[in-house]
Amino acid sequence: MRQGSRRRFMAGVGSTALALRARSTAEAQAPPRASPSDAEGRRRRLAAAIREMNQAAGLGVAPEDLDGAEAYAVGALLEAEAKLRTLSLDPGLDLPVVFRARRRS
Amino acid sequence: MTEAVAFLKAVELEDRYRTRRLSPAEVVDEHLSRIERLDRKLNSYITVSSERAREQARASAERWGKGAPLSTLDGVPFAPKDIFATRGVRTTHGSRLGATNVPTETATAVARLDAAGAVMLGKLNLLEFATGGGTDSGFGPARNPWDVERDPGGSSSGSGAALAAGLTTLSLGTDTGGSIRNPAARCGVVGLKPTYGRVSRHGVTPLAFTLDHAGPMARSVRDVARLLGAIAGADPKDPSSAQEPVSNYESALERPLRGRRFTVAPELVEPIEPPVRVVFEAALDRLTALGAQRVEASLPHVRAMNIACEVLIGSEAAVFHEENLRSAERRAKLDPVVRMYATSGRFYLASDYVKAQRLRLVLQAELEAALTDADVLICPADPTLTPKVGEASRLEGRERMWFEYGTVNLGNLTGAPALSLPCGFTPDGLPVGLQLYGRAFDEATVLGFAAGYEQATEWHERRPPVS
Repeated sequence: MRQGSRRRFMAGVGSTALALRARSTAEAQAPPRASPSDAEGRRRRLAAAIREMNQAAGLGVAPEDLDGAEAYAVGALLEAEAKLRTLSLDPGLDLPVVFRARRRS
Repeated sequence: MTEAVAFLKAVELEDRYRTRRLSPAEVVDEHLSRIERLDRKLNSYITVSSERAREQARASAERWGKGAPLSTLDGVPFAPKDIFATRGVRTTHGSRLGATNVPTETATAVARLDAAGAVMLGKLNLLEFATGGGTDSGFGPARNPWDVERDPGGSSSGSGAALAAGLTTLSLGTDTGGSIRNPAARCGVVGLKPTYGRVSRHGVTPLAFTLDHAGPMARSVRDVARLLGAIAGADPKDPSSAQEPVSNYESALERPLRGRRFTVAPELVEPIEPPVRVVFEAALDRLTALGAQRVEASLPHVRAMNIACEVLIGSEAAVFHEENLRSAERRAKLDPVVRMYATSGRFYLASDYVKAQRLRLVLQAELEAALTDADVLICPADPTLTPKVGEASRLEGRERMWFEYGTVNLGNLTGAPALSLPCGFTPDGLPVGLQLYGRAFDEATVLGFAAGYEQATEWHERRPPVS
């Protein structure tokens, strides 16, 4: 595999240690489980926040699309909280911005 | 002309052309006639370009007549998903928004097949803008040739249906979250999502640019290998295309399975609907009976895979569809599920997006580690029973949708190659797909392993009721 494309595609691969470190902290940071009534309350608050944010931040989601966006985004935000935000992932995993050299013609 | 002609593989067509037992014009006529007869039931094509196809077939026949074909694919029929731009031929993205869109340039993958002399029959149906499960096509749903009441999978739905029914020999699909492998599995054909960067995406309408892949679909592993060889390779028009040299994929198909290793990760085989599990386990048993050795692996971060994919697709699609969603007139022409994906992406956290990107590299490392002692990692391509048309996860079915696509996202997140091939049928007569993951840019090993299984089984030779 050539160095340049390997860097582009596989940056960070080989960093099994990072993966293992991320794994070891995953369970430790899991949030306390909410009761069903708390969960339903949070869903309602999030749904209301999404509508408020759409208006206050001028996100421009049309009224007829808000029900769908809300139904989907609420579920995704809660799942991200449980499964993604609990992970401690090393900043060394961030991909670099790559500039391509251009010759003057 | 018999039905069998429409089911000849590309490698068989080459042999018939070379020995003058068939001409490209005959083969293309047979396909066009079948499309006219059968596609009313399947709706796999959005546009059929008959005149153009006949013209290309005549030119191909002349080349074969002179003993000067452009390639081994000269005269072989193909049809791309209607998300590949084709100069002078309408390209709709499966959306009413594209109903009159006629590009002035051709996507690189299609252009490479044109240059190889392959004959384009038309453009195939898809879930609108290649968006995931639950979306409809703006041109009505494609149907599964194994049972027209069933969903053919997606988003390359027309590709799966047309291949299974013998309405094309080869197809090009795209795959952002399993959109090649899911319809390949549900329609009983072979689909490969190559490594990210392996096949140019120039001229392919994006869904989520960091996850989008273009790749080959066909009715056999060998045809997929041949098609990949024709379309793979660096493209100056696509900054994400890789400089990696292109292998001779067909030469990798001859290695026996005996002594080769496959790995199974528990995180990718739970949950599976029971009838699918029975077929999947039987396929693993067959592999070991053929002399392949099973080793165990673990991919702990798969737990976060689907939500990472969801955040990435939603965020990137939200930006792509910004203009479409701003105009009431354009918005009205979009499927509600496409609007749901694209609008929900406006509410995701930027920090979740960054976290999801970091997770991809963790998953890459875990997959690499799992493949240290194995040629391929195996799991079902679709762990669920094929739903009825219109019953695929809709607005309320977020969890169901991610269950259906739960084993494919690893390929899009890691960029690693992944292939689905038929491995049996559920009791209701619908195909099941076996999914093989491989190392980055090592499509040859994946294809070789798949060919070993295919040669020892007959699943890929079965024909659906509508064919």
